[in-house]
Amino acid sequence: MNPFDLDETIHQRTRLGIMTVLYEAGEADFAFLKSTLDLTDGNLGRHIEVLAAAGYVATRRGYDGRRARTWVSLTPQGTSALRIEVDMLRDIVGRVQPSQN
Amino acid sequence: MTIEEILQTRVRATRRATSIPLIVVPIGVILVALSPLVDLDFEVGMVVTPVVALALWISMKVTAVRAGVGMGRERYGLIVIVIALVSTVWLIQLALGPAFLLGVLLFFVGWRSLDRGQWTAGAIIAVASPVLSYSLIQTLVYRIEEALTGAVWETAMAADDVVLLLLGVFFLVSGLKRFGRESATLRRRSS
Repeated sequence: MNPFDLDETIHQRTRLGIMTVLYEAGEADFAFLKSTLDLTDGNLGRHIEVLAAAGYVATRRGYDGRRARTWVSLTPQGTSALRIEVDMLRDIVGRVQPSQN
Repeated sequence: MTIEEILQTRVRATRRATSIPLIVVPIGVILVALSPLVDLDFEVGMVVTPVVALALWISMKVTAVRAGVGMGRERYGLIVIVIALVSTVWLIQLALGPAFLLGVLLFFVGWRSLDRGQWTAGAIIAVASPVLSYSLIQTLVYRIEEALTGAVWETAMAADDVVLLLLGVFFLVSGLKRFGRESATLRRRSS
């Protein structure tokens, strides 16, 4: 694996955080992502747009009583991209710390 | 801990994914162990197991939705349906004891969520259930009693049921401790 092949869409720190949360949670609403990752509405919305444009996440509108909630989930393509990213990061760590492997 | 591991821990704490299975299933084990007090036999497993499986799914779902997260990638629903269906097979309940499928439920939930504490507890309950359902310990107690006093003292609960009860209480306490740790993780996050 070539470290220069890292996918910039997912490698960006905040987006990697969003993908990690979605992988563990299955799906998450906008408010949970915002509070967990300490982001503003605008900042989170922009990152979600980037990930959705790449086909890595999907959004859906839901209702909790009268309150509208936006749910975000990983697509199969996003799950696969996250796995590749994690494998690459492990590969990089393995090269830097060869004695521990 | 990497930032990704911290996020995973936070999400799992929010979902109460490490504590709820280890609270709900041991409650079922305790109910099964206490069932001789109301004169129920192996058939108690045919009622308690699907109820506990359903209660586990509902509690996980309600906790997740209230927190604004999904049910994770463990596919609890599928495990719950399979266990609830299998629990209607009376031969399994008769041969392996009413707590066996509760142990299997906890084992598969723990295995799917890569939680060693959960799958170990599930395996212990699943192995203990058939061993404890043949009153082997109680028979031994009777023999000792008879040898010492020349009579036996009959009780509604056999010594084997008491051992199962203690197992259930032990795992319930460990589930409650985990609940406390999850709360501490969530408090750290909000502070």
